[in-house]
Amino acid sequence: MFKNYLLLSLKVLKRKPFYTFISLFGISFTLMILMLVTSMGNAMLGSNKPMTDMHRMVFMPTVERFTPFYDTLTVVDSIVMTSGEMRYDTTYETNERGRMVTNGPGSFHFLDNNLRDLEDVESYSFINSNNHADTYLDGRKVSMSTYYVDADYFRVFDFNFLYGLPFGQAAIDEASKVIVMTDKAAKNYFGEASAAVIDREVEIGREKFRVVGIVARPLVENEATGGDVLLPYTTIDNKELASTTLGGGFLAVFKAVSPEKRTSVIDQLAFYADNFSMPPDQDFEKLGLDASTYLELFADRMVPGDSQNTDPSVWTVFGPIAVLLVLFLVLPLINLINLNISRVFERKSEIAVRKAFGADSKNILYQFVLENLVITFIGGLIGLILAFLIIQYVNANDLLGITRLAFSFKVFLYFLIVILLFGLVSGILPAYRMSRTNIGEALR
Amino acid sequence: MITHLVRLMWNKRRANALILLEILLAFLVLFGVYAFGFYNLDRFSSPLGFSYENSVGLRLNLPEDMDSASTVSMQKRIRDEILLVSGVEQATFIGSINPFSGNMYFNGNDDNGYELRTQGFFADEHFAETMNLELREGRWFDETDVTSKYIPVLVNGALMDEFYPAANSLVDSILIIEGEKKIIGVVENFKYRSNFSENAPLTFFPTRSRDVTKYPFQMMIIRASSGRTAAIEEPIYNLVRDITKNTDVVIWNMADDRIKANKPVVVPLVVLTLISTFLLINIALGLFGVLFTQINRRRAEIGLRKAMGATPAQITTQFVLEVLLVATAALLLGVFFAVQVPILELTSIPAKFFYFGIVAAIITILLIVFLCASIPSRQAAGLQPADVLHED
Repeated sequence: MFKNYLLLSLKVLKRKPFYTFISLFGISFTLMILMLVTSMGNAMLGSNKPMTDMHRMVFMPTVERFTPFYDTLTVVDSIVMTSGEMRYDTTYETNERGRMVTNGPGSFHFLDNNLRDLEDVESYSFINSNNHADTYLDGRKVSMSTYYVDADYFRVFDFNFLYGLPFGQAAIDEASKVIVMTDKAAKNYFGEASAAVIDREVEIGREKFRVVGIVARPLVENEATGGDVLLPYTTIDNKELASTTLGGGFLAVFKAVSPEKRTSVIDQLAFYADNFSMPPDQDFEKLGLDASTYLELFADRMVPGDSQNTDPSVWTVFGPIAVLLVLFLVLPLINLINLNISRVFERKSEIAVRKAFGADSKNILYQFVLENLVITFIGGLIGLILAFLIIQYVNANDLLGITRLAFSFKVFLYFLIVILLFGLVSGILPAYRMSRTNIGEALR
Repeated sequence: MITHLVRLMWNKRRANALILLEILLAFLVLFGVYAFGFYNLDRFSSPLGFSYENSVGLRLNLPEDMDSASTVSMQKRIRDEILLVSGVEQATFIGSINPFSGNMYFNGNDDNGYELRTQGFFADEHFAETMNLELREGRWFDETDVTSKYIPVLVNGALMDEFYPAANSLVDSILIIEGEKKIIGVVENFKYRSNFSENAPLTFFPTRSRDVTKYPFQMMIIRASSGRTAAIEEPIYNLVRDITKNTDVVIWNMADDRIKANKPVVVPLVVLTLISTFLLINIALGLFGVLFTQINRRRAEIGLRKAMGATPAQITTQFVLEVLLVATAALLLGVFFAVQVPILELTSIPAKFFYFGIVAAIITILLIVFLCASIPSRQAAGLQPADVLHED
């Protein structure tokens, strides 16, 4: 039965190559776009290594210092003349008119002294991601972003170690000259990323660091995971550690005990900032610790600009993207439905004959939905191949900069679901109309 | 004729509803893409105003425990030695803001009698020569400015055009920005963030506007003779590292940085254009297919009309007008939605780009619909009444 339907639908597709081409073109292209979007979404916001526990993380990229200034507004509510004397009734309102702000990563001193014992935090890390090292190897320039991290960094972020191991607390305490590299950085520096690289030396500045581990480069690079090389923070320029000002080069990432406890961590930081008494030697009066979840951080990064007080909610960023995506999806879908419906009439007599020989509406419905699924799967396959090629091309050339597209079993599973949904949605309405064909009229 | 066609289309409203919906959505997508594209092309068309092709940027770290005199002399020494490197043509020190980096500095006040809002850029006296700036009037900073009564500033053309459109000259005017400053010149164009950033008002501040010990200029732009850009990097790196006794020296290629700075606009623009092109092809093919079957179903009608003396041109016109009528209805509906964007000021993009977008989207859609309708109509109009009427 199933086999018959399958053969039949393939025959039908062959009968009208032009329409088949139009349908396939629309289906494969749309599915390709969907796959690329899924793949990109998964790369940017999926729980992939090293951010498997993304849903428990709280990021505090900056320590804000500000001085608000106020405006007093006097409103005359009523004027009354009593016994030749003018009387005013006024209200005062003092509003914040603006603030003088400086915002940037915090100093190690500040984080170290103040944020070490928050509640509901399983592990946390202070990261200095501001640095950059250039080395010239035989006239060839190798640029690497250097992240100075603590031992807990590797507990917060589960990097995929291809070779070797992370450095531990002992390396931090002794300020050992050890280094963990991404496979890309290793390839760039040594020409290979293999076990042979372990224990070789890398020159950062004027000092040599011994490679202890090679990690897979993350799919998406953010200010916490985007380092080409990771070094113990105790090896950083001593100025960074000794400075007692509030601002510096460190950001903090906290891993809460559960996703729900993230608000608790964020609230604790805000509470701490509100009650912080600013040292008198500072240029500013108040402190702001604006921590956010990864999704909020991501949304924040998507809206560039001279935003001083704008705090875009996640929806102002993802809302338009979602609308655009729906539009891009609905259009080919309507197109396909339209095409399918207008072709109903061509096969009226075929349906009528089948009905006359005893097939009921359900049979016809199934047949046409299946037929549509067959063509969707063929289109999906073409789309999959196209998407795969594009992903390869984009990743090989680093076209998207900080993001590389993901292609994994999980993504493939999403693809299958996408294909199935698309096939069902575009097939049901035409199939339903076909199944209701009136025998008498059609066979006339 | 038109009223007749309207009635015809109305009678087939169920079949036409999907086509209408499709055209409506296509219009909305195109409208958005066009508006976004026009807006960015307009920004792209305003020049950067400086040369970046053969330049590298450099960030260094001066020792912190120096007084102002030794800071200045170390900066001078670094610059002098860099100029001696073969292939280097010019070099300049700049403040904390550098082109294409994404860094910004804004300042503003209402002390000048209007709401002044300007970007700030910090540069020394060699900046104009290094970057090949074009001056509208006045001169760049020079040695005499170190001792002048007022701290001098330059402004860009956008500031002059926005706040002093009637003025013939701004040279020697006093501008209140971080205290009273004297304008000594106007730079024709200068926007430093990317090709797609707005040509917004900007003020250049000289070295002496910042405390040398607290905020020394620690970035440089170095222009090489053409083809030598890569070759000068290593010797400069070594010499700066040796003078500052600090390995934190970063050199970058400004041409590469420009491409990076443009990426946030170029990538979405290219992706949107590609997707909408494919969507349009898709819609055109689909529409073509649908119209082809629909018109073919009316062969008998065509035969009858031809037998009654209708010319092929008349028949083609009828079919094309029928489809265009549906398209017009969809477009009217679409325009109603689209004009809400500029009218309600939903975005900060100027309204005119949305109107351009509406017009361009209408033209594109009408063109596609016309093409998709005229090919099957022409074919149908060529049918012989004898053949067609014979079949039934």
